[in-house]
Amino acid sequence: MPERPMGQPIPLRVRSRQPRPPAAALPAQARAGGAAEGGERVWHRAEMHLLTTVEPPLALDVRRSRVYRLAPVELAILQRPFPLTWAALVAALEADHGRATLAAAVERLQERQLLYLGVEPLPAPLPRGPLTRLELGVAEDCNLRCPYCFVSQGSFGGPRRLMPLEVARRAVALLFAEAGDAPFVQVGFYGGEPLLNIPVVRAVIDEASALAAERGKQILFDLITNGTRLDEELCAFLRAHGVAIQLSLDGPPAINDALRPRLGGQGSYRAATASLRWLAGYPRVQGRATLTRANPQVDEIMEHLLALGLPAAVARPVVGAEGGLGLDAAASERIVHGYRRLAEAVLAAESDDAAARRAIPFVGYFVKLLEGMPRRVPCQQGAWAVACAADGRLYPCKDMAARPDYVIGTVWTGIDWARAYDSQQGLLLCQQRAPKKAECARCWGRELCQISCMHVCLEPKGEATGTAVVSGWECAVQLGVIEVALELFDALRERRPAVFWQLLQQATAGELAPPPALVSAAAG
Amino acid sequence: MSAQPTTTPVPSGAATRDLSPGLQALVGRLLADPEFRRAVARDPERAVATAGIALTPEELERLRTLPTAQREQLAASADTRDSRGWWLVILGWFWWW
Repeated sequence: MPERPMGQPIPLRVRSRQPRPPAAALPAQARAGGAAEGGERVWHRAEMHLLTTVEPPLALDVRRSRVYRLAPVELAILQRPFPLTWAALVAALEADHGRATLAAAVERLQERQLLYLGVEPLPAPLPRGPLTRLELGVAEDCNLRCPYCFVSQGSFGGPRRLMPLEVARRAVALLFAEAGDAPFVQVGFYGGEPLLNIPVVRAVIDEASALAAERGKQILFDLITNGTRLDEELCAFLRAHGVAIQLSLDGPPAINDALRPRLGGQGSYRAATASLRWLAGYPRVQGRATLTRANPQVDEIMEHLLALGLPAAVARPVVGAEGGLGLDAAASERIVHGYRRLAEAVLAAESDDAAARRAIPFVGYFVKLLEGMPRRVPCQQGAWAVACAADGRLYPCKDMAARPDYVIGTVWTGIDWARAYDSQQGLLLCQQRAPKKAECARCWGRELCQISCMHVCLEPKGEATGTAVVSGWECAVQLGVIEVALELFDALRERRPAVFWQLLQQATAGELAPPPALVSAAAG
Repeated sequence: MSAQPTTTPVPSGAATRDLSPGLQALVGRLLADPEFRRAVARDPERAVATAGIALTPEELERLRTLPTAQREQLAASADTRDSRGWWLVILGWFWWW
């Protein structure tokens, strides 16, 4: 359970830094400003986060998720109170920087959209895109009893059950019907432990692949598993269909077995790692560790997972943990420290390939920084998605599954889009029912935040009281890690840009083509 | 800027691991740095030199002699705002990260 009530300040300042810009620089005031006032141009500052303790200082354009290096004069300008007139700027900074330098810096900041005149264009609500992702909760049950599990050891707080094949078939049919002309679709299997229902997983992969081929679409499958039900034959099947496998492991045997015990109390490490022999050389498998107060040493855990031969490994701090394993001050500090050590290891790696492998825990942030634009869906998911529970009820995503207030249809009736998405406000049902807490709406890290769903923070699983609860430690860790990611992104961009290309190659198993124009240029 | 996925065909099947280290650095920087993209479109030779990217003489010559339209296309195709078909494939793989 999260420990801190909503509204309390974030408890951890990960690094010391200079005072934040004054409140006058915040976007609400910036947007309220206008063009000429008294015949003089008035600049406003885009919403941004400054990292002033690094050299050179960095500016994160919050709305566009772009990061820029700042020259001293640019930092000095951005730290002035806003709105800002040319006269005020000259009066404050001409002595230190000179008028011509100031003018050039203002022009450069405007080109970067960090300064603007008049009204900052704000994005309109997102039009609803075609549905391209289906999450199938094929097993609302699990053979492990992880104490921190936020879905009550796989039961989602209800009866333990498996999804019938007919439900899965109807859900897949719904996905293709809603996908329209989208060039690819995704099907994810989740639980509980989805491999408690292997026949349905296999049938869906076979049948959906055939359907995709028939419709001329690319289809991607992914599976989150504890690995204990994988065997040689199943691994061969998953490999043959290119299924991306995320294998949950929380660290070395002692740690993993304490956090991920079987139903009878025995450890799961041995069974989970046994499958690795059948996945050797398969690029679409990655280890995933959940970080709790009992295992915050993310750097050591990542080393262990990579040493197992996994091609990639990621970690996520626990959110909405049950079992008293939520983050605390010491764990939060250790996690951020661990990410900093991971970043140092990336930069010190002997080759770009090795650096890319070690950088994968940061890819979630890098993708958004590379993408350089606001999210394409109103939440953290990468696609317009629907989750289907074992009984055929549909939810905005698997985090909402089994919660009656969030049903948006069934596989028999289809999706009630009027309920699922308010196109006027651009809000999904979950956002309408539990609006992001006020501090999230103002937070500089909101576009990069990797907390799986802010909703999870607000209403932890198992709580039916309607009392909003949020863990400040989870936010503190997130902001600290984002700052590490920003620094690493900038350092790689300047010093080892090939790592970005290597990252994409590793993630796509070498199948990603470079931009066609680059191929053309390289080919001469 | 549309939020709708593109219907542009997704390129696939190209052998890419044999990109030279210099070209890997070039495309990595193009992906990660919007200002570098603009600089390449304006003056690729200077942009590459300033960024410290070491291309072979042949690669540098090809880049230098690119027609303006192709040069701009090169920069634009790494800009995710304009190359969504290419980029959506990546996002498809990265959804859980």
